[in-house]
This record gives sequence, structure tokens and C-alpha cells, in this order.
Amino acid sequence: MNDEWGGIIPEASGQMHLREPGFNFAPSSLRGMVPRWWNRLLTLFLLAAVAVTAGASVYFAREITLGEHTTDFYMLNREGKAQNYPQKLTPGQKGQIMLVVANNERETVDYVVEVAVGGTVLERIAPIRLDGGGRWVQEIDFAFATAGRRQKVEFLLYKEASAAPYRSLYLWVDVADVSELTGQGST
Amino acid sequence: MKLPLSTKSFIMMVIAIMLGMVGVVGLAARGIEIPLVRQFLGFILLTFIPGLLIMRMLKLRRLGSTETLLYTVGLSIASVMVLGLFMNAVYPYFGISRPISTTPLLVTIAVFVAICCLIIAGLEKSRTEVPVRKSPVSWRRLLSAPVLFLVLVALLSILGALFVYITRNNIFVFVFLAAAGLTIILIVTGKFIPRDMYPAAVFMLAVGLQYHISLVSVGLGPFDINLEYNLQKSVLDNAYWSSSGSGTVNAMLSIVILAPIYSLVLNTDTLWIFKIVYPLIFSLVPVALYQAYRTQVTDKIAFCSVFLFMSWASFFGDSGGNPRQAIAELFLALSMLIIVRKKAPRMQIRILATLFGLCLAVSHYGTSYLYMLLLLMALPMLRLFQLGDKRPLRTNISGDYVALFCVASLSWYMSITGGATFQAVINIGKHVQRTFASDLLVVAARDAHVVQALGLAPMRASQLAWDIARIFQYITQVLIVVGIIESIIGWRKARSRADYIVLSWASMVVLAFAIVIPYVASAINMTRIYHLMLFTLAPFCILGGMACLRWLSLILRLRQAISPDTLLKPVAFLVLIPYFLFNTGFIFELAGATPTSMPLSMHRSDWAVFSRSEIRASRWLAEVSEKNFNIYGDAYAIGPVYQMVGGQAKILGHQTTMPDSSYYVFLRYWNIAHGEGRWYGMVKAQVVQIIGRLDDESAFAANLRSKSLVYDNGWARVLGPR
Repeated sequence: MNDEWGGIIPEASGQMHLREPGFNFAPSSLRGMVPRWWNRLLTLFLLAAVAVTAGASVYFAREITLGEHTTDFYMLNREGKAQNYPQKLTPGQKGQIMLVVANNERETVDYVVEVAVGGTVLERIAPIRLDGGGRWVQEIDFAFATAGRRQKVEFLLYKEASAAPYRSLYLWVDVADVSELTGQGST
Repeated sequence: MKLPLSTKSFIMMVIAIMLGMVGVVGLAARGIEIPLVRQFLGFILLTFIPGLLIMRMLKLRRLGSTETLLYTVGLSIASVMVLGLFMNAVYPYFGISRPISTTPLLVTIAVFVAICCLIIAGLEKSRTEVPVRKSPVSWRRLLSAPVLFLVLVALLSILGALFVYITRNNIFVFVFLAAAGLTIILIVTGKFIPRDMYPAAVFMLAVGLQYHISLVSVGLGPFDINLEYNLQKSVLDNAYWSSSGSGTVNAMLSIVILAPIYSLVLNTDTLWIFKIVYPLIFSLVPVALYQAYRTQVTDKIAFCSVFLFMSWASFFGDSGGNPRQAIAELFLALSMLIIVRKKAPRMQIRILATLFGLCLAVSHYGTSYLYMLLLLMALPMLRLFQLGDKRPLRTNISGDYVALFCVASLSWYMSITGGATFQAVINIGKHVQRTFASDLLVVAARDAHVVQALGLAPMRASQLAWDIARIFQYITQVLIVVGIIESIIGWRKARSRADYIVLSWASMVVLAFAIVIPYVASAINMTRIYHLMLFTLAPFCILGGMACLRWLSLILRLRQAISPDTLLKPVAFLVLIPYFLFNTGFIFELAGATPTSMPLSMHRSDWAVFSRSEIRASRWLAEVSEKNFNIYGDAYAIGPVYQMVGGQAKILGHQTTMPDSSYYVFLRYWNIAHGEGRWYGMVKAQVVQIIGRLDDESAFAANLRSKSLVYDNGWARVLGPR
């Protein structure tokens, strides 16, 4: 090692192991360069800064592990999978799904669920009171009165008493006449 | 760690940690979880204990605390990989079909620890006990101003990242980067931080730079890391690693063995192992480099060199996206350190160098192919030092070592995963050979970063800040070349440092090749090549700068000889600090230019950043989706999905031909809030990022609108399957 090149740090304590640097924390090299009270003040300030930064980091880390304040709203088929939804029906035939509301808001919330076809509310379920971390699972039936391709059934979730839906899901359903299904339809 | 403990207290300490770990796992089995204790003990058990035992058995003492720490961690990780590989290969023959699971793991580690302790007790039986002096680490020292300052720098980065995640406010990241810049001023001026704290300063800066990126999101970045997560997940799911699995990454023990073992012992999702543990281990790379540089230059120059190495964005940008490379780089840095240091007994040097070399080979093929190239070039260059000089040349780069490394790596790559890793490099070679004549002068055949660095294309954006950034990039490159030329001129005087010099010359040749030969750079990523070549070249930038100033003083006929310390200051203040502030995105953010820094610019542009809700949605989809249906997402959204379902996940894009109906689409927050997504296209060797609308009148967007919406949590949505 070419130590002859390096700048020599003012070192009052003489305790440094110049040949063996490492994680052995030596006292501040400020000693002897600035008044002792200044060094103490600086140390105190840094100590406070470390404590505040560490405390704030722990607080935010905890906040992050708890997750965002939100509600998960989703639909599953009767077997609890996101597949084989009832998307081919006939007029009047019941389609069935499982609707799930998972409260991750970290507080108790009163929800309202509506099922709507063509803008008409078929069913309104209220109130659904869920504590933070709570889950609501229910089988929902719906049916279409008329035949037609790509009809929409909507599932709306309202939070507390708000007028606008908080979350909304929808399913596109082909509603075929029985005659169509048997291959005798006019179109 | 500075003073060797007596045999008895050392063995007692190791056994206490082992028993503590077994106790915590036993309690967890009975349903009693003590938060953080298992993580802490597990980390100590895997990261330090095996290495400490081996160091003791090899009688490696008096290396100084920094090197002891470095080799300890290196040997520990090597042991964990070897133990895991052994369990995976041998246990199935004894009827244990799920070897990579908690119980076999703990039993194996306990047996390993017990055997090592017995050997140590036997070896040290006759040794006279050294009286143990009082430990130099006292509260008074730990609470001294410089230590507190360095701890504060690292903590500020953590706070900065977390604060950005929650509030999108980047103020603490700015403060952290400014404090990092201040650190180098303090060191160069020699005002505040004593010299024996430089390794600690390097480590704290490295940790800060790693965490200010990795902790800014609760998901993993884009690119390979998702594949890596998926591979280690399948090892965890099967509790067994199948060496016949497809793909190059499956041959990398840093992913398929090391990550699952950490995850099991710490009882923590590998996501957090990749985000917290790997960056911490990776932060030892600059410390190892600092130690290596110290054998060549003064401490301050060594610090400045490491600072330059850490300033190149690959150090903190790419590494988070590539954990296997992080582990490989530790072994590369340790191999380099072993090679350039002359003090340790030669037998131990050989054992360590061989072990670290082998671990490098099984950790990341890209890095080890480059190391192979360096070694193969270094051998003939070493002959140069022997020309016309009868004295024997002391070198640690022997023909045996190089041959062993090459044969061992290549045979691993050829035998594991059906030779996919070996085939990968053959394919690069074939592609280069095929296109060499036709594309030699075609700009587009170069990697985008080479093109930018050569100044043939605007560097991402043609803004003033970017133009200045390019100038600083050129300056550092020119200074490296100057430094190298100086070393070539004075090569006869550098005989005692021949190993280091030839490795750096070889690095320079590799860089030149990467620029001149089409497709090479893009195949292994130019920024990564530059990052790896800085391992040896970084000090030459500083030395080159000092040489320029020395020549300037000769031209100006300054009478007084200028001390190296005085020469170093302008280089650090005028080149290093601006270079650092440009590369970390500090100046781009202040100037409002096209951003490069995820934490600094998260409030104004799109990054592969994920919230817990988005991760939860992706895991929900992986669990309940039909396994035969693909899941599409844009280039970023697909990451967390890929982690869980692998090849079932595909990148969405206008050019993608979608099946008629049976597929899912995963939308992340940015897709929903801004109605746009991003995907990639290739134009020759250049990857082009395309940002497209998801809500316009195109057939593609109409296709998305025709699908059902089955999941919504305000942060992420799932469309489909029909």
C-alpha cells in the first residue's frame, strides 16, 4: 500500500490503526480542530437526527406493511375460480356468481351492493357492515328478460352513503332465445 | 470481530446462535411467532456463521476487520449454496423427496456447524490462548459524530424511499443524495471522517444507494428479476431444484438455491429477500473493491475510485433488477481482492480464489464469461512483465487457476439445464459472426447505450441537462483512457502490481471490443459491461485526472511540486460530484429534464413501482385464473403476474395477436389512472419502448373494452376471461 501518498488526517487521539483500517470506529477526527463544545453539539444533533430518521422510517415501514386504505371487490364462479362465468344464458335463465367484498380500509365500513341489468336495479343488499380486514361473500343470482348479444350485468358497490358507486364490476352476457340454441331461430 | 475470540467462547457463541434459531423455529411450529427475531437470527446464521467457521479452520487471522468481514460473508454464501446443492443432490437417495424445506435445512446446517466446531476444537487444542483484549467497539466510539453521520446517510435513503412510496414527495431522497455528495467532500478534504472509517463510509453509501431504489416499491422491478422470482418459487413449491429445467437462469445457484434457503430460514417472502438481504450483501462489493484498490493507490484515491464505481447507474439501478448478478459480483470482487493482495499465505489464497471463482461461475453466467475473458487475456499480458527480466514474477493469476475456472464454469454450463447457458453464449457468437461483415458500420446494430456513449445518438433526450451529462460521461471515459495510457507508459515500474495492471488492460480491451463488434454489447447489456469493467478501471479515472492536472502544472511551470492530495481535490469536486449528481438523477429532477431516477421522479412519470394492492391483485389472479388461459399485462404490469405464473403471463401490446376471447388482462394503477401502457419493440439491436393508449378508438382498445371486469380494488383491475 502506498501510504506515503495519502493525506494525513489530523488525529489527536493517536488511537487509529492506520495500517489496519476497518469497522473499528475511532473517535471523531474533529477533536483538537474545533472547540470541544462544538463537537459535542454536533454529536448531539446527529444523534437526534439519527433517532428521528429511524423513528420515522419505522413508522412509514409499518404504514406500508399495513397496505393502502382500499376495498377489494371481485366476482368468482360457484367453484371459487375466475373462470366459467355464466356468460351464455337464455331469457329468464338464472346466472349465478359469487360476489366478494374485502375491507382493507382499516376501519369499519357500511357497504351497499346493487345488481343492475340495463340500468335497472334487480337487487339491493344493504347494509353490509364490515370491520377492517373483514370479508363478505355471497352468491348472487341474475337473469335477463330479453334475448340479445352482449348484454351487461353490473355489480355496484357503494361505500357509506355516497351517491356514486365506489367500485363497479360488469359481466358481458350473450342471451340467446331457446329457439336460437336449438338452431331453429329466424336469424 | 477484530480480536479473535478464544476457542471456547467462539464455539459457545456459534452454538448459542444455532440453538436460538432451532428454538425460534420450534416455537413457530407451535404457532408462537416472535416478529423479527427469526429474521435476525436466520440472517446471522446464514450470512456469517459458516464463513466464520471456515475462516477459523483455514487459520485465516490478522486480515484486518474489513477483509475478515468480506471473506466471512463470501464463504458463508458459498457454503450455503454448496450445502443446498448437496442436499438437493443426495437427500432424495435417502428417501427425503423434499430436501429444500425447513427441517432438512436446519438439521443440515446444525450438523455442518457441529462438525466444524469439532474440527476447530481439535485444531486449536494445542494453541495457547491469546488473552482477549477489550473490544475496540465501544459505545463512545459508536456514538461519535462521524459514525452517526454515516448511519444518518444510510437511514436518510431508507426514509427517503419510504416517504416517496407513501406521499410521492422526494424531499428526503434529495437530502440523502446531497449527504452522499457531502461525504466525499469530507473524505477528500480529510476534515471529519478518519481514515479507518473509509470502509464503513463506503458500505453506508452503498447501502443507501441500494435501498433508495429497492425500498421505493413493494414489488420487484421489471426485467429478469420476475423470471428469477418465478424460478425460485418453483423450487420452494416443489422443495426441490430440478437441474434439468429449461432456461439459462435455472443453472444459477444464486437464485435457485440461495434465495429459497434464505426465504425458508428467515420465513420471509423471497420478494423481501431480494429487496432487503441481497442489496445488503451486494453493498459489500464496493467495500471489497476499496480494499483491492488500497493495494494499488492511497486510501483517498481508493475511496474516490469506489465512489466513481458506485456513481455509474448500473450499481444502484440494474442490480436491484438482477439479484443473481449481485451475488456473482460479490464473488468477482472477492476474487479480485484475493488476486491483488499479496499478504495472505499462498495456500489459503489458492483455496479462497478457487472457491470464490467456482461460486462466481454458478451465480451468474454473464459475469463469469466476462471474468473468463479477462483472465484469458491477462495470462499473455503477464508474459510481457517477464520479458527481459530474469527475476520471477509474483502473480496469483496462474495458468492452473485460469484453466480450472474455465473448465469448471464451462462444464457446469454444458451439463446443467441441458446446456442452455452454454448454448446462450454460442448463439451470441454465431449472431456476431453472421452479422459482422454486414453490420460492422451500422449504428443500429449497436446497443443503444453504446450509441449514446459514442455520441452517435442523443442520450435519451436532447435537453441541456442531458448534453452536460454526456460531457461528464465523456470526461470520465477520457480520464480512464489517460490513466491506462499512463500505466502502459510506466509499466516497468509497476512490476509488483502486475496482476492488477493486466486485469485492467484486459478490461479496457473488452470495452473496446464491445463498442466495435456489433451485437456483443446488446447481448450482455452495455451498461452492465461498463459497470463490470469499472471493477478494475475506476481508479484509472482518478489517476488519469490527477495526471492531467500534473501535466497542466508542468505546462504552467508551477515551481512547487503539487501533492497528490491537492491534485485529488479538483478531480473529486469538478468531475466526481457532478458525475454522481447526474447519474443519480439529482440534476435531471432539479432541471425538470427527462428523468432517470425512480424515487426522485416518481411523482411525474411512470415506473415499475407497485403498491401492496397491485401485488395482492396479481396474486389473486394467479390463484383463481384458468391455467390454460394467458394473462396479459403491459411491460411493467406483467412483472408481478409473471412471478407467480411464469410463462402463462404475456406482454400486452398493439402488435400482439390476442386470442379471440379466452384470456385475462391485468391492469396496474398507471394503466387505469392514465389510460396508457408500455411495451417493447426491437429495431435491430436497439430495444424501443412504446407507450400506447388503452382507451382510444383503436381496435386494440375496443378489444379491451369488450371484456368483462371481474376484479377491482382501486389500484388494479382484472379483465376477462371473456
